[in-house]
Amino acid sequence: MIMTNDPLEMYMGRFQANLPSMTLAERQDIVDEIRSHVHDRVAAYGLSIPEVLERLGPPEMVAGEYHRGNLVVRERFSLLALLRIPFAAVVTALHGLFFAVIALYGYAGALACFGLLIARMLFPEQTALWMTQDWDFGMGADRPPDATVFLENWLQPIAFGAGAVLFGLTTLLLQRTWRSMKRWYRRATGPLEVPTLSGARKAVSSLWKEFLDARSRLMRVRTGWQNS
Amino acid sequence: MPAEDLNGSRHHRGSDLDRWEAQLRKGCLEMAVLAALAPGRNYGLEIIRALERYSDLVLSEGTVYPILNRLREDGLLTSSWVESETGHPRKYYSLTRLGYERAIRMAEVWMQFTSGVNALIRPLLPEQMEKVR
Repeated sequence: MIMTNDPLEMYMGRFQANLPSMTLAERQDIVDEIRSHVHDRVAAYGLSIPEVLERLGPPEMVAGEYHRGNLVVRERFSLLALLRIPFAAVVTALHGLFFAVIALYGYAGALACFGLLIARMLFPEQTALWMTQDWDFGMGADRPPDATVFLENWLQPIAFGAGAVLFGLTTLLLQRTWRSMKRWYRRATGPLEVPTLSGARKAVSSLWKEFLDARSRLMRVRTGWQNS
Repeated sequence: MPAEDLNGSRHHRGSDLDRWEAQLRKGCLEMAVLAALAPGRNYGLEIIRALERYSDLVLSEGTVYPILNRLREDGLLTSSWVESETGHPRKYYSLTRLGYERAIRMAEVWMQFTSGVNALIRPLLPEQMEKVR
């Protein structure tokens, strides 16, 4: 994960994390627009980026405004909408389970690797990985006579590398799962959003507009390349 | 009534008034955004400037963009990205025919609504109402 102290990037990160679910193109479009606004404000008024961001309002609040009225009508009852809430609750619970399993096995694996590294440093004679001719693996001093020791000198660097990679991957996966779980949790506990025919029409029209936007963007990029 | 209670009550009423004012502004913002685009296409910051010039509706600039997005979803606006001289692209909005009709209808409703309410509140603020007229 890229860590940054740039106030604009931090703002945009929080903003994106709180946007409602939408297509990638639509999300990018919104983010580009807010970014463009910040640059315009800075250029036009000579304000600092934190000042401009303050005028914009808290990122959670701005993103929250996009939740309302997008492709949905709220006042009407629908069985589908009612089913969506338990479905979101189940998905949230599954996320929680996945989170717990990943945390348990990922960090336990990383801990085991680091433990192996330390054990090898403290007790080099008793710490070894071995494999028998029947493909039985084991660790420790009491190895069978036909067992072959492997990774002798490489054991420490490989244990360290594997531990670090496992730790990093587990953390990354947990962060992503956490973010996704929060989104599903909001759907499970948020206001009822009822899909309607007019919503579907808007969705199709929105997809078409997205296609046109993407095409015009592509043309812009191509023109930029040709000019440069 | 004790002074502390009175202050607390005033504070409570003040926050109620603030909330009411915020809701009022928010309610008008959609019409104001459409009106700001009536002269021609424009981008976010210029729309905000127009709103600031003619009204003090914009409490937080971040509320304008979701409204623009929503109006676009509703087919009242169209948008396109245009390269600017400042080096970054800007998203320009313009009214669709439907948007223009909606803006006119909203303006009519607004005029009718405010003239009625103005007549009602005139006795409360006679001097200020004279200026409005």
